[in-house]
Amino acid sequence: MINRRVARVIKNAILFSLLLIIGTLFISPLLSTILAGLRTDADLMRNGLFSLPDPLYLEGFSKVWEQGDLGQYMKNSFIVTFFALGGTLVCAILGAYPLSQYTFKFKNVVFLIFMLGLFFPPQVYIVPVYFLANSLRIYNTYYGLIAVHIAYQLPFSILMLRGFFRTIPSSFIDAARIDGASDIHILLRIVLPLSLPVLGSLSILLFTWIWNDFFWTLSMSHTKDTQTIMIGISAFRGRLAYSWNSEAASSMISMFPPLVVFFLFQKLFVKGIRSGGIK
Amino acid sequence: MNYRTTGARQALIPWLFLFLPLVVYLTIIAYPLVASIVLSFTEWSGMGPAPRYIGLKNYAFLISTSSILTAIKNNLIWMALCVPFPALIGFTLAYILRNNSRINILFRSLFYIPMVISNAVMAIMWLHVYAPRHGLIAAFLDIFSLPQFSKSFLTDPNSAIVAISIIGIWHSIGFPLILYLAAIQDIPQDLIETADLEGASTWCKIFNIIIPFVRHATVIVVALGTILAMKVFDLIYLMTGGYYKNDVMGTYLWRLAFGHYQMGRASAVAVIQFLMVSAIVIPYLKWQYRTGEIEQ
Repeated sequence: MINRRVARVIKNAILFSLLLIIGTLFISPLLSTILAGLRTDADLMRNGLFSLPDPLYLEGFSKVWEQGDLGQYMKNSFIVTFFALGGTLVCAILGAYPLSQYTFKFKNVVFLIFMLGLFFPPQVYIVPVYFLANSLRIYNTYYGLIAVHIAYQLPFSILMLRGFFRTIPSSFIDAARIDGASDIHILLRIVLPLSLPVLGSLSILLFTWIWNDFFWTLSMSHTKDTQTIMIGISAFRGRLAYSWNSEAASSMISMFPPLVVFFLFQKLFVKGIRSGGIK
Repeated sequence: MNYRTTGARQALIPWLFLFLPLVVYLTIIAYPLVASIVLSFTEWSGMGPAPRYIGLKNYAFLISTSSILTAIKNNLIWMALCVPFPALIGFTLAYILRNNSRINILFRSLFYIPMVISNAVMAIMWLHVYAPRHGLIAAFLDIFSLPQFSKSFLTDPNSAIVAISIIGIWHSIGFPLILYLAAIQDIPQDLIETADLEGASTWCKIFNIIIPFVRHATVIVVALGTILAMKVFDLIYLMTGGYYKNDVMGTYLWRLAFGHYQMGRASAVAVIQFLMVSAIVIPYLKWQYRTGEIEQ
């Protein structure tokens, strides 16, 4: 009996150390970036990757912030992400509600048309989108970026919300209707309050995806007034003298918001991926 | 349920809700998707005179060069690496980390982290992983005294697409991990216990109970993984510095459109990509119909 328990402890210990090694290797690209952001280039060249910063160097952050104009890029990212997220939520709620709670002609056609956007890569339609934005005079504006983000995120958001709305018991909705509640009233007072958790999950996913987007910013903007932080950090290579510390520090600044959101709301994030994948 | 029969006003209500999302979506996604197909039969620089109909000449041009084949080949290599490997690794990790102990939950978060790292940041991170002399791989090779294997993984066109695919795998392990965890945890416990009582080995349980039980998750992981793999653009664009040999369809299209101002040819690439995606999506949608994901 004791032998068996010892064998199990040893087995678990081996498994744990194996996982620890694999986990450390797995995350080492992130770790080495963080370490590089905290040390000078000279220190890095002298002591190699596998050493702690000596001395600890934090001025890299303020240096890239000023020289790379990251404040402006971060501001653009926050503005675009905030409004695109809000706009996507509003549009997705308006789209998912009739697709889940009503019966009408062409309902499935409408749903399938929305789903097309989920499947086709944005490069397939980028050329017309680019010229459309130009002719609507929203190329290189916040409006243009926000609009393409909303449209692009709409299919997944509708799919996810529709999946949840369908689980709301129709007796709730029928009861409200008998009491004389209007359609919009039912959406606002019954469906939405029940959907707060799924709206939370969706918001976390949307925040991460819109913040991290590179392709749409690349295609829809070309000046510092509108480009987001992801373009800001990629442009570093050309603008500053090559420095690993600068690149690492600017990368860390850019990934700070989504990482914080992820660690604060990990459960909602995982739930979102799960329901988005399955439903 | 008599509210549905009270006339045209009621029939209009779903369309009132749908108005805004449909207008946004049709203008920015659906209309350009159709416009791409139309543009692929024209010649247009994007400026000056309007697009001119030239029939199938764009397609003839694409076939006459090897660039499109290289791009398709790279897309397929990316797909062959970034679909099965995350699925396999994700499944293995999900099996190992299936119990909700605190340590397991911690390890899971570790494997989720790359999902929230942007392509732009990953490009920077991994340029330093692959950097020939001071990169992470070079440093590891140094530890094991094997510096002769250190090379420039990204500039060699034979290894570049594979090297970048590894980043794709790294990025997407979290998705199958999450789906397989949910599926494995849904397996009724008494099924496993019965197998244990009958003396089934671990492998036997994995192959005879767990893998058949999670097949629904497998279909989703493979189908969505393939669809996502077709969207590859950012990492290739950021990491290869525009070298034809490393192009995928997305970056080749981009170069034709915004590098050479050949909108017609770029759109022809788009149509080819469109057809390839359709070949994956249509069977997947049929499966969804059959399993009742889309009703009626």
